[in-house]
Amino acid sequence: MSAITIVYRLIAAGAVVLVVLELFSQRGWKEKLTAGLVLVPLILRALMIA
Amino acid sequence: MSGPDALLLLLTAGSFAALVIAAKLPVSLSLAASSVALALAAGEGVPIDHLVEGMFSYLDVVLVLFAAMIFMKVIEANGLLAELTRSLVVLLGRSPSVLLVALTIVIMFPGMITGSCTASVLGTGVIVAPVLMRMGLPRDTTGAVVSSAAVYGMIAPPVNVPVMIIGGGIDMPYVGFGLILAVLTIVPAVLTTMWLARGKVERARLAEVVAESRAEIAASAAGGWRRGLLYLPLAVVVALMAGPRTFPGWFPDPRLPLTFLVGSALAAVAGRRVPLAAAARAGVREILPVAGILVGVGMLIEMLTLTGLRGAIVVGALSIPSAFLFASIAVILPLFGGISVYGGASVLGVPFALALLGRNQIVVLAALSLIGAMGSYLPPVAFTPVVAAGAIGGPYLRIVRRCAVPAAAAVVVGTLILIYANPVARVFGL
Repeated sequence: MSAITIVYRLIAAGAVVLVVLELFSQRGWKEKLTAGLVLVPLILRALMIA
Repeated sequence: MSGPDALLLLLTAGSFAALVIAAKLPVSLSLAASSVALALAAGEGVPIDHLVEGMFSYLDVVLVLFAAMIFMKVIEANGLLAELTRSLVVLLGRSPSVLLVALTIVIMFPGMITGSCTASVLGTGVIVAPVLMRMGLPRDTTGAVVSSAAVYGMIAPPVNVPVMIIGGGIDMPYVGFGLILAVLTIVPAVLTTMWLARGKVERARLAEVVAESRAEIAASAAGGWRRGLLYLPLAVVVALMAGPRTFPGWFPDPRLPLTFLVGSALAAVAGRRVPLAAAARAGVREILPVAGILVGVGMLIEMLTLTGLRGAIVVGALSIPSAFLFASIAVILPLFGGISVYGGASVLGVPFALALLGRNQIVVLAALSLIGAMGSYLPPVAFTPVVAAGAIGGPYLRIVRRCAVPAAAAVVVGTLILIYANPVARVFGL
């Protein structure tokens, strides 16, 4: 795995953490769903599943 | 287009509009729900694998937006944006016209790097607005100047999300747009500001503002080299963005997310100390709705492809007489932008771009984004004026009224550019 791939995955993982924090700090269900929607591809990319 | 295809298209557009306007769902969730509705209506069930695949379409853009918004939050908190505004006022305060041009570009800046008009209004707009009002501009004119610069900032390079959305829909890379987007945004933004504000600046009050800004800079704790240090993150970001293009093959390309994260890390320690984690959370919170829209747009485009509707739209659009097509673009695209500029780019921008395949696509996409962005002023959402009115004060409809003529002019210019796309492309060497 190249260095730039590791950096890319770290950035994706950082984004996952920030969106998860948003998911739990938002009170409205619409905001929670939006955060969940964004989270799906981010998690899969951080894990390089897709 | 066949009857069933037309019905499916109507169902998709109708369900999206109903979910946004009647059910008051966010645009992102409405796009996702409309995608599922389309798949169900086309007899595809709920194709989870295709829906998830669609979510990835704009993932790299989402990462750029997250990183750019974090950078914006850090340079807002460390005092760079306020310092930049004060320095420009002192440096260019002798000429109201030159100062207005500079302040317009300052307002545009956050939108340019994040692709979000909210970043412009809430980032630099709220810093520049009091300066404009102290120069003698009425509140609604100030709101109109901020709104207009924010809308043009949203579609200015390097990050133009509507062009990225349409480009993703027609499999076109986001390359070669820099010059034409700069011309199509900075020129009308400056002309709009001049039209709105030039005659309203009072020279005596401007002199007072310059004197106050000079005093604030003198009183600032950060003087000399520390002031210079404040600009370092901005200089590094510009160098990392321009370096790979200026010295290709020699200068490593860190790409935009890493560029903005490096800038954020530097900005957190240059000037006022900024807690990076808190700035990152604030940035992601602000840009999350836009990121959600991009994920939803990706799902919708994937469903349009799965159901064969995307091809049907292309065939249908190619058979529309060109005069009718240009009139439709000039009217429908901004009207749909009244719900969501990004939604309009995906639902209508992609078919319109496909219908204009014989013309230079870089010029076509740039012009479509210009026309679509004018929908930002239109009710029912009137997103940018509403945010500007919330930040500056006053009713948003007055801002809308002030921006109506320049926005209509921009739609006319955008339509003419579409009609003469190939000659325009030659002028820009595209």
